[in-house]
Amino acid sequence: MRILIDEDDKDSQKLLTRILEKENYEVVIADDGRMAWETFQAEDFRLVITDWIMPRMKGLELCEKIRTKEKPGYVYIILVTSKEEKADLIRALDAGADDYVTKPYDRGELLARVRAGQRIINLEQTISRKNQELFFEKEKSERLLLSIFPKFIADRLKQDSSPIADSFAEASVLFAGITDFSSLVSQKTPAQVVDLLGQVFAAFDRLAEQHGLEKIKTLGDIYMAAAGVPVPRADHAEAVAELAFAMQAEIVRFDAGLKAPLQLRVGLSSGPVVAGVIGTAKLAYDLWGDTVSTAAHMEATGLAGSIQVSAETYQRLRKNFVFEERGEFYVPGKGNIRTYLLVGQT
Amino acid sequence: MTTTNNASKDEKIIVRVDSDLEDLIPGFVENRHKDIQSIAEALAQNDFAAIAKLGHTMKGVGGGYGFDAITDIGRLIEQAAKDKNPQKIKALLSELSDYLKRIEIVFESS
Repeated sequence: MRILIDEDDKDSQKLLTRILEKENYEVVIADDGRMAWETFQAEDFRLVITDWIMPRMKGLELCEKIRTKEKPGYVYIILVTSKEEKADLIRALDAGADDYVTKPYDRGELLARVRAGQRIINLEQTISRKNQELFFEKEKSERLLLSIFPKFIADRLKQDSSPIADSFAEASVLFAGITDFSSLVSQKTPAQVVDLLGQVFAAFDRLAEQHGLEKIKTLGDIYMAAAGVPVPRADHAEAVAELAFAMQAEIVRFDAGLKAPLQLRVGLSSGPVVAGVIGTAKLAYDLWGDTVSTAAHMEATGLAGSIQVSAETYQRLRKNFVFEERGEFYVPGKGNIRTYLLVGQT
Repeated sequence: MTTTNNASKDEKIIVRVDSDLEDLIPGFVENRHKDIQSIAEALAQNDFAAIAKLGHTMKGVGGGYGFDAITDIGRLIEQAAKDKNPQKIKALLSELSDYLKRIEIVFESS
């Protein structure tokens, strides 16, 4: 350990150096208070021994300066005084000194007080190391939390563990599924399928993030994302449409090693949804409502390589996007609904 | 060890010093001779503040090297300077000078 000695008397300097170096401490001497302060600022010291009466800066002032200096790690200060007056000792301790020795130096006492200081420094270093570990652990769990939940939701969950179920009057939901996924599964090993899906979904994650959409979940080969939740946005329908185009452009870049290229069916719908985190185990941010089931239906009944949207999404996009009418489908619980294929932007 | 007042003028005073400090002792003793000179000079100019400081330093350093008498004399010089007592200071200087003449240093390993 390095020790900074603030001492002006040459004989005392030599004596301290000899005593401390014999015990393998590294000693740096400053001839006056200001030099001690400059040396302290420039180098790394965790233990300082300073004389009470010093030219250019008193030991007391040096203590105060060290205590107000923003420097990582605790600095243990031993003040040296030949004054035995109690008031001085109290002032020294209040100014930031941890301990004191009185002159003339007693070798055994001096070394014992330095060892006591070393114990405090070691403890402080252990705590600071643990704190750093805790900080990294917290960062890790924070990252994990953010990979599961939207930031907005993660922040709420951290403050309050009660269920979250928010109603949104206006949102859009996207479902994307790989066409003939079951035939892909039968031609590849499970590891190959998982590897391919992993690459496709990672690409979709990147696109969703680029377009400012919230990925909700994947279900087998289905990828689900939404716009307008958990933070509302006026252009939610445009946002899912643009992500849908980007996904269709992305999927053709994948070579699954099959005769036929990978193809994607995308379904979109817009309207009110409820979004939140419910239950107590394996929590996930999810969406519920008619808009969600309609969007899922748009995907399920869609065509390979195309984007099928409900009338609700069509109404919101018809001005700026190009559609082809697909026809009517019977949806259980809803009856016949009209659907459209989104083919381009105007 | 306290002051040397009670000892006979020719009797050697044995000072036991840590052998780790052996090479530092000639310089240390030399500096005390210098102190005597500096205090005498300051006394000629009635500079009691300088004398008090020299006495203070002597007090702080003597015992650490094993010379408790130097700490004692230093304390008395500091006090005499604060009291502005030139006679006392002169007496203490001659006591210190006498002490330095009579010391015989024995180095002992700690």
